[in-house]
Amino acid sequence: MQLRRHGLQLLVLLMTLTATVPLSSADITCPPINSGTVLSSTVTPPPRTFNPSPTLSSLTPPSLPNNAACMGKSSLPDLVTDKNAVLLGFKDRSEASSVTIGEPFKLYQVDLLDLRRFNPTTDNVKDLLKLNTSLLIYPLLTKRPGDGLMTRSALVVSELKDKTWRPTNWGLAQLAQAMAKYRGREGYASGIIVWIPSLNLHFLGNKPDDNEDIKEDLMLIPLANRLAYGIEEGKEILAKTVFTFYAREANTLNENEPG
Amino acid sequence: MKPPRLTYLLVSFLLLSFSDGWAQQTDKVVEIKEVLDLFGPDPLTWPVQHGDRWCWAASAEIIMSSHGHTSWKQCIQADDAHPGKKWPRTCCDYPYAPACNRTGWPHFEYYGFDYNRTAEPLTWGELTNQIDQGLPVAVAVQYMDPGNPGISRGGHMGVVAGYTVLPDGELKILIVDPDGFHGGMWALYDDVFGNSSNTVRHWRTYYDIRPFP
Repeated sequence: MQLRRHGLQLLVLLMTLTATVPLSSADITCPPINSGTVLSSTVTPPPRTFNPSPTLSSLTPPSLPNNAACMGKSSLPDLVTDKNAVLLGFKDRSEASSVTIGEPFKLYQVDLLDLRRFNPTTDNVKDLLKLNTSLLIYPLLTKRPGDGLMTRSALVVSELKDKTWRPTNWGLAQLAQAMAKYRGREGYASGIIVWIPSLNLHFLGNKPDDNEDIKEDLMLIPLANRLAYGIEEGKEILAKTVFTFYAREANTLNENEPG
Repeated sequence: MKPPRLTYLLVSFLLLSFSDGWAQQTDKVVEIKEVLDLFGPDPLTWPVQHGDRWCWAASAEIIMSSHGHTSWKQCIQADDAHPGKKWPRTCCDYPYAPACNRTGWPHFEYYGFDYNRTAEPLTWGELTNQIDQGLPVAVAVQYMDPGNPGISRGGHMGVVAGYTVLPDGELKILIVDPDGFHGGMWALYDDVFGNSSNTVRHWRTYYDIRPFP
């Protein structure tokens, strides 16, 4: 009788432990990866439930972004040390072993030359935004006592010139945390990032529906302060206004030097 | 005799715990070489850009500070890199003045440093040799439009402060971005120093950066 009661308690404990970090439907679930293995690139997955039966393969790079993200996650414990953990957004090395991958952010890029030509009275905002189809940013979340499951860091996966998708960057902690923070605002859930690489500017865009086109009244949330133009992190601003300000800056930018 | 159910449960639990599916890369150690200690114990206190366009000056400040030369603030570098302005008197007064908040290249020689620079990407051996010597490296990448790679779209500079080789043989570098919101990141060596990326390509590297003897 005593044994039976202890057995029941253990079962309840196990069920509690496995249920304490529930994944939302938007989280990316990776299959367990054994040491030295990589995911196959040959399985075409349905959305969000990719590569349901991973197989051992040779060192074949994955062809799909979600698989690349899972590969990136599996590399993370190798890349985070106690020395670099804070720099990469983690509390310590062990936290990097318990990340959950969130739903990715898409990137719309604004080209320097297009921005220079932008005229708010005649040009459309949406014509300035080009979807970067070779890059996705996945938030990396962990659970900490006190603040629960939150974004700490990010993983970038890219389609390289050889047409394979690979994890290419791990870290970008502050940017990742800002992206996740403002994604919670109404209208920003679909997670589009508007990036002006030449000016090192990042915004979250309010494209409420994945299937919806970019609208002329697109609103942006700056993900960092840009005090020269009165742009403050988190303060929503009309995309047309941003592009009008920065068209001037783009025209004075020396593209032959970094900045 | 009744079966000892608790024992069964415990044994099953232990077996599950040590099965392959739960084992996470415990049998290999990946060596990471990094020089982050040179920048100080807390990344939140490392120099960050004081002007939107000052990645080049902030990268130089991080590196010169790592040698104990902490006087060469970004605004001083901007004054020296862009002389002849009428206002402000110094960029330390107003970093966001158009005459100050400008792109540029580091001038380590102005501040008592020897260095080399190259538009050719460092080989893996050359790069890792720098880190092994405790020398961080400043690297700039250029943004590009794959459809029109001949035209520069500007670029960005950061500091390479570490490296590793993963078990699958992939070469990775640890970059400190001075812009104040990217923080640090691991990147593919081939993305920054090679030719694999659709988005960026290597632009210029400053290395062998040491104070004059």
